[in-house]
Amino acid sequence: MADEATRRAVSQIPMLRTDAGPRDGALWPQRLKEEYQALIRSVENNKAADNDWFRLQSNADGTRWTGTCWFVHELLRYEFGLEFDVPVTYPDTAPEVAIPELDGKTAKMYRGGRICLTEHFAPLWARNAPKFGLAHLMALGLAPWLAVEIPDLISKGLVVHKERSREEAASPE
Amino acid sequence: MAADWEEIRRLAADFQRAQFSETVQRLSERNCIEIIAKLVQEKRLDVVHTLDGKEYITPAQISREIRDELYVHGGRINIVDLQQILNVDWVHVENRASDIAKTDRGVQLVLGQLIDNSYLDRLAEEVNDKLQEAGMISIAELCKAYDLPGDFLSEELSKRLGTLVQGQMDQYNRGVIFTPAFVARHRARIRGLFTAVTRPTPVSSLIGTFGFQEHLLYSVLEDMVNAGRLKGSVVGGRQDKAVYVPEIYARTQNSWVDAFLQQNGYLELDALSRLGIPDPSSYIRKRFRSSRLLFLRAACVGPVLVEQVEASVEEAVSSGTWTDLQPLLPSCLSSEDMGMLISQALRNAGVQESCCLLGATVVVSHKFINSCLALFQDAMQQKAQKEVKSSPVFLITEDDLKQASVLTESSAPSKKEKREAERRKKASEGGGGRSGGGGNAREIRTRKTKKKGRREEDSDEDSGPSQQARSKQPDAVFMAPDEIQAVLEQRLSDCPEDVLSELAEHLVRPLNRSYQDVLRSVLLSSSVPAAGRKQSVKELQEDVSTLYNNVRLFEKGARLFSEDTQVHIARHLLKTVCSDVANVLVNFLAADLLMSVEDPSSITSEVRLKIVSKLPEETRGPLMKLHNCLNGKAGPVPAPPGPVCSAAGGGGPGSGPAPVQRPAVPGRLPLHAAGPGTLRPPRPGLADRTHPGRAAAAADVLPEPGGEAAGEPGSEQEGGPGSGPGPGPGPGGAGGGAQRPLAAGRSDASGQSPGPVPEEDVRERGLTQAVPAGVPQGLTGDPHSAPPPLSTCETCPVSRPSVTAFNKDNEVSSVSSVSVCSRPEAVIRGLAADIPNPWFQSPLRAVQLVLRSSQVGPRTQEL
Repeated sequence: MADEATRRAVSQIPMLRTDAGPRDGALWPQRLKEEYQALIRSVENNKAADNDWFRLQSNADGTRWTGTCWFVHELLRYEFGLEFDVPVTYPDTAPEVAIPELDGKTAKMYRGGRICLTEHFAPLWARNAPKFGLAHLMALGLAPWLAVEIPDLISKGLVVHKERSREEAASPE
Repeated sequence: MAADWEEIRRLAADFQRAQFSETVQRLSERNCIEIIAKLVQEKRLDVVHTLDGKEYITPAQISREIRDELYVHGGRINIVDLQQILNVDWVHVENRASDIAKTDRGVQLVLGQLIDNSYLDRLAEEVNDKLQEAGMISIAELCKAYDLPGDFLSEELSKRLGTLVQGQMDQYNRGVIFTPAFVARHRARIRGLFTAVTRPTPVSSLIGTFGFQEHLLYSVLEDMVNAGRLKGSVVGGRQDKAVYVPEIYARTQNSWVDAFLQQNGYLELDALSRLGIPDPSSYIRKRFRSSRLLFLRAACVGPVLVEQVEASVEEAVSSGTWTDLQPLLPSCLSSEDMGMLISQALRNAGVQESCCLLGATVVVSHKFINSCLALFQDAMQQKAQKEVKSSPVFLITEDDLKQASVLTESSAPSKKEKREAERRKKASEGGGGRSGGGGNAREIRTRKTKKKGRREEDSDEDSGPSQQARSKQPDAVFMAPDEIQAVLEQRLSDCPEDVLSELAEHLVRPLNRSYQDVLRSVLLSSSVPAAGRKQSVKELQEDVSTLYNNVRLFEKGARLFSEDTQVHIARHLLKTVCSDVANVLVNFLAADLLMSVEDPSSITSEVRLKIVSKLPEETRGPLMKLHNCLNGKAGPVPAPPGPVCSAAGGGGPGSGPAPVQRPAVPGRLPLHAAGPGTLRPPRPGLADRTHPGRAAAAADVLPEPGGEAAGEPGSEQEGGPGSGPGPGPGPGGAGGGAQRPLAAGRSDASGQSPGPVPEEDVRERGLTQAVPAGVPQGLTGDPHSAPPPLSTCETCPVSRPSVTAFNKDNEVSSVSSVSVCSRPEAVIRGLAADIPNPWFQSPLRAVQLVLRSSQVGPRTQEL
């Protein structure tokens, strides 16, 4: 079902072993440790491939995550803020990633800027739970969404590069 | 637990550190491509990317690879294949390939293929192998085999001829390469074949049969013919229709023609063309330029044959015989050619004038023809004599007549005659009312015009060949061609039949001509000598008076018989004695014109008519009337009186007068129909006979002009003077109005009675007075009444007509309606009145006197 690129991406990210959600108490730190290790590994891989594209950080108990992601299109870097909560039913349910900036600009999105992953990513996640973690969410959920949606939004003019918009704002002044 | 959270914090810190650590700077493939594209765009770098976009190649590398591939592929590679192998855009490959072909002399670009010399050498070796094997190889084949253009191949191969390729190219046709051995073999075969050929043979068929190489064949053949190795010639150049004509054939042909001409003396053009000579006549002309040959349509005749013909013709002419040239002439000649040949021979011999050609091949000398003519002399004389005796009239022609008139110094020159006729015509036309005038005038006029026309014709014909004139006189034909042929056959037994028939036809005309001459001379010699004329006049007088007396006597006697018998007797009298009187008269007059017959009684009515028609105009009129009276027919071709009488006989009326009244029928009928009374339609037989009377009555009842008009058509239709009764009542009609119907009725009533004549009745009061008294039936005058019985004839006194006749001396036309008995006198009287010639008149007067005296005498005695 999954294509070649997906498989490669999955193979580079270590699988998670602990099946525990934030409510599971003692097992959650274990799970969280694994999450971090996977994320570190994923980021290192990205950096090694000159493909770094996001920053993430969590709150203390690791239930709410915030950060930025960016996409390079025609030699210009478009950066968006992102945030998501780890749901209580995690890891059976995937977290819902939201890009509040793009709320209302695309149809592939729920209220509050939560990107729509139902179609492709949700089945994948459901099949692979609880082995998939947040690193997988980023690589297999958000990255393809960005790759598809951002050039489209840029071509539609819904997303404008910040520097350029700044220039545009400045030039009339 | 805490340791776990500690570790989690540490891990989060590691994560942050990992996130913010330096990213390794790497150029991705995409970047590299972009950079190179930029460089190529700015022409800083000259590279070519492969089609799959995975490699860049420099042009030099392409060139090297092309060379490598060329070598690998054995010196020949297609650019398309090269492009696939190198996986570079086709344009770059082609550019490099053309560069290579330009720079490297050993490599050429042909039809999109790179070919180097090593390949060509190898190709030449292969070709050489094939050539040595087959002896001949064509560039076209090579082209197909190697898929190379012919020009390129022939050029490359010709470069290698003699070195790599052991062979030679045909200098005329550069598409073929031979080995010397093959050429020699070929040459030998050609030599053998063409040496063996003995008759003209199309070269193309030989090529087909023996599989020669056409191009090679022609050059070899030409060489051999020119060198004299082959005796013969090639006609028609180097095309399909080229024909090889061996010399032996031409020689044989010529010798055959020579021999044939020498043997037979002629040449048939057909035979020559069968021999294969395309234009025989020009061939003959060329070949026998010196000898005098006579060219005919389908043959050509040598002088020997012509001389032979000439000689035999000359012989025939000089010996006065005939000769048939058929055996002398070759049988193959057409009749046209024969004619040409014979006429040429005749011209050469100069005997055209003295002979003629019959039946296409028979030459007959005029001498011979003349001798043939002589054969008929005796027969001709005899026949002429016989003919003259029997019926000279038929033999007399117009010009004969003229001659005769000149001979007898008759005082009737044509001009005078004409004037006289005109005068008469005018007179009769002017006084159309006079009895019988109309009919006579018409008669004269038609005759005159006819005669004039004929005279003109004669004069025309006299100037030209008289053939027409002769043919117009069938009467004077001597013998039919068949008869002549029969005679000739008896005399000339050795002649072929068709020649005889032609000869007979040839003879007919001269025979007829000479026969005419003979006839004329016989006639002239047999004519009555002038000395005897006086005597003959006396004789005439005697004859006429005797006959006349007989007539009177017989008629008188006849009246003693019953009515029916009377009629028959009257008819018989008319046919015998009366005719004799007329014949004697006619014959007497005819004697002047050399037409007389020895025995007047032999004159038939036809002969009489003929004679009368040839008499001078003055005498002709009355005599014609007389003749018509006798015949009872007014038409120019009188029918024998018999049938008419028999037709009349059925109804009972006397036959004698029947003809007299008959003429009125046609003329009267229409008028009658238009008249006041309506009648039954005319019926044949009895009705016919009865109608005239009634019709006449109807006509006469009508006012004068009607009668006049009736007369005209009547005479016209009848064409003769016999219509007398019709127009008759000219002057009398006005005078005796009361009598007219009566008279008509009388004529009607008397019907066929010989005696009464209306006109006379009308004019002679005394008589008419007497007549009605004697004929009460006639007084009815009613056209509708039934025809009166015949019995009234009895009332007609025999004596009256004669009296009448004498009383009215000058009324000639009345003769026509006069009864039988009175005719001769009237005629003679008429003649005496009309004929101005004194000497002719006097005998007639004498006759008249005699008649008159004798008439009184015997009758009174009898009575």
